[in-house]
Amino acid sequence: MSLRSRLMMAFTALVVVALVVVGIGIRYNMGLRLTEQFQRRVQALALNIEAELRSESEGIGLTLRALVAEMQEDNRFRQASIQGASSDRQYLLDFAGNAMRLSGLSMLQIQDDSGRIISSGHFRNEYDRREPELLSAMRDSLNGMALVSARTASAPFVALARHDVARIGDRWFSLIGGHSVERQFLNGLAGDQELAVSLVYTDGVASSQAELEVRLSRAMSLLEEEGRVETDIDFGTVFSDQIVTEISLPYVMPRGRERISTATILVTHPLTQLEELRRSIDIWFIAAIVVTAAAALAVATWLSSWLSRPLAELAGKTSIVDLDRLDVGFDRSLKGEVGALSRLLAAMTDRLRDSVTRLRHVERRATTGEIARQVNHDIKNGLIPIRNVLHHLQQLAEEDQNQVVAVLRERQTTLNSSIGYLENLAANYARLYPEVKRQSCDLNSVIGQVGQNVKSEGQIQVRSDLAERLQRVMRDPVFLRRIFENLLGNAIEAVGAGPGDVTILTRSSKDSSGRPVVQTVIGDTGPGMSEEQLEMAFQDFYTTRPGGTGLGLSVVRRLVLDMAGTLKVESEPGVGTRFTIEFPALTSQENHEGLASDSG
Amino acid sequence: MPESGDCVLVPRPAVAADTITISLSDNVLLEHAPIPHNLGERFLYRHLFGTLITLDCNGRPLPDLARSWRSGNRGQRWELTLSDDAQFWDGTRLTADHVVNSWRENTDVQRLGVLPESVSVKGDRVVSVGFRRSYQAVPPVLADPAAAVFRHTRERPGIQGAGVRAFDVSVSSEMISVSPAGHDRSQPTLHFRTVVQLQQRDMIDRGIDLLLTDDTQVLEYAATRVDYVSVPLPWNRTYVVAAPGPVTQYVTHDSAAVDEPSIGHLGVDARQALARDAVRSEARAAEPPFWWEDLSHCQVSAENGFSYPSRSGRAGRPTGETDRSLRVVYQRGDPVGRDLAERLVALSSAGASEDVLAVLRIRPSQAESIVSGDKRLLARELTRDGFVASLQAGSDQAYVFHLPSRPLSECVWADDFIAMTDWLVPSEVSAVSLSRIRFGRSLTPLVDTRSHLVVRGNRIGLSFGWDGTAILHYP
Repeated sequence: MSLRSRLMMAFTALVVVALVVVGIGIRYNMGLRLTEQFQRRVQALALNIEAELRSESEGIGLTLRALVAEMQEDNRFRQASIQGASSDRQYLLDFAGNAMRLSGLSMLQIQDDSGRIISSGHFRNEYDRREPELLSAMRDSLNGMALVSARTASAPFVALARHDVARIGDRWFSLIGGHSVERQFLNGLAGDQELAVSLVYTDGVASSQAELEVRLSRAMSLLEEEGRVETDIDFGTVFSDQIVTEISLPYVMPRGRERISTATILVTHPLTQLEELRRSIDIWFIAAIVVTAAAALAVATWLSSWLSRPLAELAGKTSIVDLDRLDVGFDRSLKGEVGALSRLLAAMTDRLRDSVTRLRHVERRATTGEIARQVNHDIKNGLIPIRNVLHHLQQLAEEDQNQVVAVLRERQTTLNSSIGYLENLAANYARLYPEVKRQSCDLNSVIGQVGQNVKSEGQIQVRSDLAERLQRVMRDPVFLRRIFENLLGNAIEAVGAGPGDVTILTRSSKDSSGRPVVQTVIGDTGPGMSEEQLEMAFQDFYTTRPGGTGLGLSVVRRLVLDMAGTLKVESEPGVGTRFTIEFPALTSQENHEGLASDSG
Repeated sequence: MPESGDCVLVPRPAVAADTITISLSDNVLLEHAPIPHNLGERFLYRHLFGTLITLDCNGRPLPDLARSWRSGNRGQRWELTLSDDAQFWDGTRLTADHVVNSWRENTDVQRLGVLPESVSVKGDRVVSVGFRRSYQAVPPVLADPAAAVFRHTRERPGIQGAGVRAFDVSVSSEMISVSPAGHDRSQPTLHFRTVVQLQQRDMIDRGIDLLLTDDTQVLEYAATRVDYVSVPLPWNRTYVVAAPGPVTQYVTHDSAAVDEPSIGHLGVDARQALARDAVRSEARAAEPPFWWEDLSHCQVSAENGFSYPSRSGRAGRPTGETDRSLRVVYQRGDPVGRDLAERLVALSSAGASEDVLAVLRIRPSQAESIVSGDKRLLARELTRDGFVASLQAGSDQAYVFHLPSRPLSECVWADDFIAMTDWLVPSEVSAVSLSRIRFGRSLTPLVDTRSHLVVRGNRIGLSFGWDGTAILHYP
């Protein structure tokens, strides 16, 4: 796995893990606090409802007390109920209905002392039905308050009811009256749209919220099927998505009025708000993770790239460094660890270059020794005939002086031949390694002279692109000429009969250390070289041309290095080859001094 | 309009009043015309939508839009000649074509039973009508409000009735005003106002001329006012309870009479108790004879081409109501029907007598469940259309509604009732002998009711027709 991949993974994982931890923490704490808040609200409402029910019950009690007084004072009621006056029969039957409307009650039933309904407000035509159990059950209820299932002709309803009694004449009459506990009543108790108040009793359910009523109804049906409706119901389990608090009230069942069961008022707060918040947080959290991960990925990519690119470049440059390629430049201006590494590599390359120079020198010295031995041998070869002639002449001078002249004449040819041989030998050695003579040179001028002597054949186009006001170099013009002659000749020979192009380009540039250099590029569109050919191109005696010496490029490289220049070759089979030579340029001051010395 | 002497309630005044204001307690709408949905509309339509004939309180046919008639084809075809004065409200002269178009184009299903089987034009002013039944005298169904002649118009109020005078009829949110057209000063302008029951006494205090009511407390108050007189109309409605089930006997072409078990009948004491205690309007125990119990004169046979039109469709239950509930239903806006239905439910829920249970066709096992609370018996109000649909399907336990104490034609009513209900006669029976059908086994009479007219001063004359509807008379 690359450094870049590792960096990206580590960076992204770090950010995402941190975000997940923060998100879970927020989610948990928010849930905890909201749940506590909801529970407090539910419990507060439950307390409020209990107080409200007590207040409601007291209000009903006062209303019934007032109705009792009204009944006792009402002569028509007295006549109809005590004396059975048929003319007031309708008045009696409608009495409870009228009283109910006036008092605002939803349920009002008046029974005589036998339990017979003599007037019913909520079910007017229920008269004459005997129902003493209702009063009995009401008496047994807590504080006289109970929920009662009130019959009507259309549908029964549940009422929060109380009872009272009135004595008229010698007879007792009972009043059972109350308020309907329907949705409107429960809505009034709830007061808050978020909170719901529901009533669950043996015969049904009612709720301030229709949706909850349906759910309750279904749940109760299910429990009824399971036969569990009579047992204590854990509404917290039934409504796992709600916070539930229960208030119990006695409930007088419609069947067998003597029996009192328990009705439950449920105060619920849905956790949907919490769930919605959680969902919302989840969505934003996921979005944050995605955005952060993307950003982290981008930053990690940039960071890893920023870190690895100079290393990769250093690695690339280092990979091409060898004894023959010490012209690779390492940036010494970089900062930080990479800069230090670059400087180390540059220093190492410098040391290598020095070592190579010393090695070359040693090689050269070794070569010089060889040459010296050869020269010694050659000179000896040249001197031996001379020494033999001189030795012969010395013998003649001691033995026969008269013969000296004659022998000298006789051996004159030998002497001349040996001397000629030595002269020739000296000339040859002098040509073998000329001395470097540095002087300020204009490369454009040198290239121009070389170009005049180059003959191109066939369809070869030789193009030159020489920079104006090119900086001068302090180098040997003869060496330069040999370099360019060799390279240009090689290029033309590489193109062959053409068609093809040979280009010569000069320009001012800077090396990898930022120092000014003069760059000369000689390129051709010849067959180019393979990697193997390229590796061997600078070796002595390696040639691909029939009749070639194999010394051209070797000499060129040596001459360039001897003049502290750099040589770079790029070649691609089928495309061509390009040689780039760089020499340090003279500064303007050096240039001026150089020109002055030239002129001097 | 001529009136028989014994049909007069209030003699004609000597001097005509310019304006008569009439208060009706029911919700009165011209959109229902010509078929009245309540007593108020029956009273209003009687004066705005003329029929070819009318019947006086003794059932004697009187000319209205038609001045004369004659029979043919053994009483099954009748030719009626229109009165020269017959016209629409806007004064357009009424022709035989108008009559035919009125009947043909307005095919409200509730008119079908009373309209003639066939109708044709015999001349500009002569209409020929044919019936499935034969009539010795001019067919009384021609006096049914449903057979009134009218036409729809683009101008308000969107409908025009016919009569022997022209009217200008205007409708506002408070009243319907009927004023004589042109310079006719022979009759006053009538303002028909609809008020809720609680405001009827306010109308008396405001000096209204005529009040139609069946509220006993309003009548009590009117009795305290010396300037008003309360005039009772005839007992013209008999409330019955119908429990769906096949008739006890019927005959088919190829089968003998089939006996069905008899259902109960409420005794007179029970009916009196209902009238006295359960109903808050003026009521009495339904008094026999009940015309639907003897239809022996309504002979029909398949050979005459007589067949009952088929009906389809079933009335649904309201959403959310459990199927376990049994319902005793009544029509919306019928307080007497509501009182009776509620009392029947109360009696059944408290362990009623066998008579009541039998009347409602409640089986003993059902009765026990109702008393124990395992099964519910409810009184439920239905819209007019819902009630008709439910009655047709027989989808409810029992129906409380009223029948005319004196129908225009009991045979036509029986035909309609058989045709309307899917449950009364099995569908495979194509012809029924009404004489063999004992409607009394399905229809149990409960109470009779009537309305009162509270009349101020000597400003208007009143009589009543065969169906008990009051008729205004002017000098």
